[in-house]
Amino acid sequence: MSGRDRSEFAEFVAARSPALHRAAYLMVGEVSLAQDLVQEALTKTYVAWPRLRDTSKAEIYTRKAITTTAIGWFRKKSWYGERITESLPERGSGGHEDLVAESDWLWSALLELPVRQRAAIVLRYYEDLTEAQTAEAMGCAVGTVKSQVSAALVKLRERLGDDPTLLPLHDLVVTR
Amino acid sequence: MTEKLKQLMHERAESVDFATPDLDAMTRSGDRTVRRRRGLALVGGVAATTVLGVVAATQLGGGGTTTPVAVESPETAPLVWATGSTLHSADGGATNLGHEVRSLVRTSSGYVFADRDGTVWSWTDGEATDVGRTDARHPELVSDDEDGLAGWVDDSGDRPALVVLDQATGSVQQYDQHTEPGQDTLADAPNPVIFFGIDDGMAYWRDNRGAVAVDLGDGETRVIDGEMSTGFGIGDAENGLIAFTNLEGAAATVVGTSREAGVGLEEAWGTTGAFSPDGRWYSSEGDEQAVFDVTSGERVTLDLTQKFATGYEWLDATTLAVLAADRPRMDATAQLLTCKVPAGTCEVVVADLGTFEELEGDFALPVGEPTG
Repeated sequence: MSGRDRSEFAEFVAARSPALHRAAYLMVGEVSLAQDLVQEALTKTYVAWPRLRDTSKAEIYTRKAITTTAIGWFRKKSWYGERITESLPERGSGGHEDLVAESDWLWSALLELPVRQRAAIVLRYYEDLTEAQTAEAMGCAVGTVKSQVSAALVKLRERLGDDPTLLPLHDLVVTR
Repeated sequence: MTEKLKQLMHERAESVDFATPDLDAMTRSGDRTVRRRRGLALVGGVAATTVLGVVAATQLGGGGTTTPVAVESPETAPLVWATGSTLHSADGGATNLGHEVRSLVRTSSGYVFADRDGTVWSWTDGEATDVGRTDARHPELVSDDEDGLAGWVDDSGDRPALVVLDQATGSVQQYDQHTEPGQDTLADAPNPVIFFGIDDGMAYWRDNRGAVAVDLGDGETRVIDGEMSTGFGIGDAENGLIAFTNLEGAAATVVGTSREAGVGLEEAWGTTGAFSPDGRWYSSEGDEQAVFDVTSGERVTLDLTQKFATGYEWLDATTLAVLAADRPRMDATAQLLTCKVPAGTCEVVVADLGTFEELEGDFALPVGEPTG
């Protein structure tokens, strides 16, 4: 990478934007909002391009911009951060339809989480980042990541029950 | 045991098709930022962000009560200044920043300011966030207004730390490996820790190695003046050019990559100054305007009748903001002008800011240090 090279940036966007979009979608739960989020984060990345020096740093930077921008948007509209639905979809206990219902149920519960908790869950369990990498992406301390993940899982368990196959029980313990 | 949660997220994320990002829109927007076409304007007390940000906020807001105005930002940055906790712009806009402003800089993402207690605040998207501490005696800030970076010296720990904030992501990085307990942060102190500037991903500061240029991407450091003993040695940096100030000899300022290899600017007496965004022009701080062509060292004549005038900030590549008054006295009325360089034509934009006496202790221009 050198200077604000448009072709290098275009290559980066082409290669990484699908993955960035997917993570953004999980954080905000809406396709159009995820696209706006990625567009804004990539614009910030383009401005910072000359100092990022290599593509791996550019991806870390963009992921961080997505996360902090999403948190900022939702924090300013705090009512939106906890979209409690009146009732979760029905849960079944067996066949394909039940699996679909369970998926909808879990998805709704995930989207009800406050944005910081949801971001922590997405970064840890979708992006498979370490706690330290998650902290870097969220712009917070590792201890905060632990507590956000733990709080998210407690909330999900309250909504979903104690199904051990559904949620990572070991992360319910805050170890900071 | 996280399998269902993970599986769900993968299934949901992969079930959606996303439109290809609009590369032209991103690079256009980014280039506008780089060209100082900032996505920040004061509109009816609401700090409008980029058009994208406004769109997103509107979507999030749903039936909210405020309708942000999507404003195509001007090519030339607006004149701004702060009195008390209010940020004013020359077009009549005023925004309450929520905290008294003693020192102010702008970046491509917003503003960074320090209050009377030395608390450093980041102002983005209409909100002030506490991002650190600096010396309350003389709060000094630096920024790259073509990027989202700002910097300051934090004197609250056991040793001074140089701090860099990226407003675009909110990340804060501290550098204290080359400072020591007891080092002062005022420029006239012996062996001080001073932040001179940030440009193009490089930070310029003085620590116990002397004046150094630090690549904020990979940390690579170049000592640019190991003999610099005070905090008055660098006026500004832009596009790899450094204005070395406070020199003895015919040229008080030398512009180049080192003190030894550069163009001399005679009568550029100011210990600080401002390069134009392209590095072509340099305005030296002082009681009378002193703008130079850094390729030749020649001074540019501005059509000013005021007895006091100092250029302090470039609003674009050829427009210099000037603080002026008819007389160099505290009871004189302060004015803000814009001057075109090299044409030399000037226009009074704000005719009456109040007298310097009235502004004292309560006035900040976006230069990174208390103005009044």
